[in-house]
Amino acid sequence: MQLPVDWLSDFTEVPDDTERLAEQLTQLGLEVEAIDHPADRLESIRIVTLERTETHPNNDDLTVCEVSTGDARHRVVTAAENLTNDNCYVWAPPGSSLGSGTVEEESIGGVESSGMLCSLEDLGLTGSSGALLELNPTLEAGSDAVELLRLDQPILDIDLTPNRADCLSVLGVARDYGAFLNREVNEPTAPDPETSGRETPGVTIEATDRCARYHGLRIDDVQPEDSSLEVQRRLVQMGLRPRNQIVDLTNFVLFEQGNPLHAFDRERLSGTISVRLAGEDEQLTTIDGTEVELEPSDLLIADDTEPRALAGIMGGAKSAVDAETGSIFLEGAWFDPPGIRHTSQRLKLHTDSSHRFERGVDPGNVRTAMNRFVHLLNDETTGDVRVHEPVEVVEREASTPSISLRPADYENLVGYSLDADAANTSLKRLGCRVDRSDSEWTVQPPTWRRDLNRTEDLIEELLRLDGYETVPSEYPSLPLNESPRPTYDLPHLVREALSSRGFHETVTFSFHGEDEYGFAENDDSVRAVRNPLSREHRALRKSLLDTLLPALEKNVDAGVEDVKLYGIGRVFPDTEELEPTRLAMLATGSVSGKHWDEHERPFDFYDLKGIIGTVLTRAGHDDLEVVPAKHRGFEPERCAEIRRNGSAIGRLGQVKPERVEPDLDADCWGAEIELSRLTPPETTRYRPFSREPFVKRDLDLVVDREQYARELKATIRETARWLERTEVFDLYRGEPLPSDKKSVSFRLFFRAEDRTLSDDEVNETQEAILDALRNQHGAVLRDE
Amino acid sequence: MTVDVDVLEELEDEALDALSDCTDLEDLDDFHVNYLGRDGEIRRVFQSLGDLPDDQRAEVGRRTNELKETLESRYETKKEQLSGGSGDPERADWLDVTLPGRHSGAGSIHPISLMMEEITKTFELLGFERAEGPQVETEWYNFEALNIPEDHPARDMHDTYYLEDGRLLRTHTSPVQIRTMESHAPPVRIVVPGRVFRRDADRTHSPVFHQVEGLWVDDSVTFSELKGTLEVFIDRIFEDDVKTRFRPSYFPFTEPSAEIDVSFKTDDGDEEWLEILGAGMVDPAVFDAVDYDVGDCQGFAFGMGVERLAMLKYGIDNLQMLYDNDLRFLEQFSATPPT
Repeated sequence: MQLPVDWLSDFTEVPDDTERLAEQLTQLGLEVEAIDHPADRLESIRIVTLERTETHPNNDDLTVCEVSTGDARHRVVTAAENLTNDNCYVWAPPGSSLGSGTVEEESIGGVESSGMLCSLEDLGLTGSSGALLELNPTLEAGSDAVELLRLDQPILDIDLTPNRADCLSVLGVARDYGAFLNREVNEPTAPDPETSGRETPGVTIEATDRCARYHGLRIDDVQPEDSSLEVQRRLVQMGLRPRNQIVDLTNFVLFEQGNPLHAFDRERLSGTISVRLAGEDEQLTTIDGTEVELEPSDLLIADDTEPRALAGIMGGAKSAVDAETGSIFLEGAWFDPPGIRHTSQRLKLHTDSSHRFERGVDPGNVRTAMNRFVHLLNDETTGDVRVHEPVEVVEREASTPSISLRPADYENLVGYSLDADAANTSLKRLGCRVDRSDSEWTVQPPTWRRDLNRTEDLIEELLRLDGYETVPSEYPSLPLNESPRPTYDLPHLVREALSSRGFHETVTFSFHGEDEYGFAENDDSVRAVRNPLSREHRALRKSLLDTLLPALEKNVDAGVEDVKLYGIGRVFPDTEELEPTRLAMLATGSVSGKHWDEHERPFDFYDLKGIIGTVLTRAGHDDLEVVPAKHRGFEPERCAEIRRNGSAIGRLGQVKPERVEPDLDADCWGAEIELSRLTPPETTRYRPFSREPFVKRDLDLVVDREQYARELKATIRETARWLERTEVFDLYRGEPLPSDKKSVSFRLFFRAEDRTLSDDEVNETQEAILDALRNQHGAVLRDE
Repeated sequence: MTVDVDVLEELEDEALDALSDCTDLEDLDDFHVNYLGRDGEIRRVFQSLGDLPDDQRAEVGRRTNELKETLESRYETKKEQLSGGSGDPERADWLDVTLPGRHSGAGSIHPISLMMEEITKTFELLGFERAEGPQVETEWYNFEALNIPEDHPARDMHDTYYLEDGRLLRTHTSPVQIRTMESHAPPVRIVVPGRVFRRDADRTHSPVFHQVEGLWVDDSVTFSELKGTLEVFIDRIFEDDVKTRFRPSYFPFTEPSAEIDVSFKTDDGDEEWLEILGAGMVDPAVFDAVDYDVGDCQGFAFGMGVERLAMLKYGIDNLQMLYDNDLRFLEQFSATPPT
């Protein structure tokens, strides 16, 4: 909320140092996000009178205006439409500044424009439309706009939390600030008006649960003139364009008191007013020109013929006050907050009024706000208005709960004893009625503090006024037997291991474009976000590689040749409730860059497989198998599945080159592993080992070119006796072997538990192994 | 002479001896001519391969090639030694220890992970147990159980992504409070790291970001202890002394609620307060929602944005850098060990 400091000072004393004020309000829970000093950025802008307009000769959407500074006339081109001769506007002449730079003389569509006419936005105030700021014609043309509108006064931008509806007005902030510093607040004058004795038209509340009270007041003989400079400049500070006395004063009262009022043109209403829910197929055109299809949950203000306003949100166009209006029906009310919010959200119609009603206005202040309106109207108007007897329909009184507060409650929650006298004073300063006895107090908050309902709420108020700083810090103690057990943090282990092997961790979003399921098990269905910010954020990822690949591509695009990336995160498979945590890796380029003593070697399948094996072994998993597999994201013969206890937990392989953009010089290798399926390993148990000497034998086997080594190894293991371990130590293809053959060399280590093996024993088992290899795989010894 | 494997082995021994006898570059040239030159020993072996029976030729050929490579590499190394070592045999063992070692290069852990781990570990050391929960959540866990009813303005604080199936992407880690309390009786003491989502993207907001949440519920934990706990945490996270400030705020699931600022020195020496944590005493409505007996339990909760803390800690001035995955950024964290 915008809070002009000079307006606040009308009601309570504030320090000259605005920074200090901002600090105090922030400490009070009314967080000041920014302090705007409009005068610091606005230089040499002036008030002008519009003398004459004509359509731009080359562009029908533009207008050429002649404006006067009293002593001279200037030609200005504008795209704005709210141009009325004789009205005053704010003009930024060439050489002036609006904060974003100096305004220049420029040619717009072939017509020289001397500076520009300004909207509230141009002035850096919180206006939301491009319309020009249009002011009372009685202002003195040529005068300095900053001085005249008192824009030299700082404006605070307060980020109010949704519970503090009471501070959505200048008076509300003044009250809270006054309570904080124990200062008097000068309530503005709002006497009961002198009435003519005639009754305002009848009002019925049909939707009684949606409207607790409705006040109506008929005022005749109004002449919607321009507001006084004082009212206009307040609205400008708040970022609102002045319209006419009636509309401006409802806004003025809203900002000052926090109660939204609405003025209907009474002569355009017929019969009595009812507060009711919308029926089927009802429509309303609101003041901003929107045609609204109403729904039965929408609360309306209607007369005998049709809906006239969306209650608490916006009035209807047909009964809007304009220059012709001679009699108004002024409304003040208390509407049920969730209902207002529901309609406002559905229609995306968020107004100063709905903002306050949906947070809860002060039901005890409706009459005061209306009185204030009448008082100001009498001050502003040049004529005599006739005020009728008000009508007030009250469904529910403006009552607040009686809350019990025991000093012990405070001490239990805060951990610190309560200074009862100080607390009593604080509560009273906040407007609470306190009925105090030693052990239990009864506290009744004022009607503007609808957020105070429970003991905890009062305790917060006491802490708030004292300052949270006054509460001493204490250090809780924890029984040792309640301390947490160490957890198996696999992602942590993986991060440490991969970052030691040249891989960089990435953080990617959890969603991507709808047609980007390249590595997911399937793309049959889209896990869709209903309201994405863009199409690229539409589909929840089912594979981590789908969001990791763009990161690799971006780095390749930036000219990096060797890229090794990984990511750890959740994926969202189709049906499962679970969100598995996965690891994804991608690598392209050389294994370790150029080295002075070695040839550059491209990263390949075995680098990736080796790293995965090492990393997972260190994390407690050396029981994984890698078997040939197929997958849509990978090259058909260059893809494998990683299995544990027979079921797949991940895969690795060469990413299909056509999936990578831009084209890479080197192959791109990728892997994705479901970490959440790797449960904590069992504690290692020591196994005694044999201290007998081993016998080493090498077998150079010639086999078919597409013979998987894993199968040979399995046969060796099944057949061998005394085999301790075996490993492939050489692989050869080429002359003199035929092209469909290769040579695989295994080294076998034999060892018995209890004795030295004899050559004959080893020869015997070696023969058995060779027989099995020959029979099952057609393997022959290379030198056979 | 017929070449066989034994002959090759002899040749290897002889050549290596000759090489190690070289004491200057002249000797080395002679070595090269004798063994690796156009009429050298290796060349001669290759020429004689044709005389071998077919079954031996390939094997001997391969071994000869290996030998050639070995000798060439040793020759180069020796040459380097002799060129740098001014020919002094005493200096033959000289190594250029300043040349880079062989390695695969250091990778890195992302600063978001580093920060998230550091926060979580710190609370684990203070006695909190790590807990996690789903990122796809229901209205109940994300809002209603946390005292944020439908049609309440507090929902303005959460721009929410909804899925087609009516569920949503959690807007904070607080649903894990509810899930944990539903399944555990007090005392509960958890720290919850996790990814959250808000439908908001600009210079200072990312639609995907990270939080760490904490909850301590027993029968008597107090606001004073909340202050003490968070002060200890801030002290552990920021190595330099920073000042801490608690001020009133509002969260539907805590009452009283607080925001916590820490002060930093700006470049011009001014003091600047930055908000880093939200916290408060658990609201009775939340205890109600998880069927805890409101009279018997009391607790505090807190939460913080990981990105903001990471940016403060590592001096990152642009939120976008955290999601760009640019190696020029990531590589800067190679020397940042995890906690």
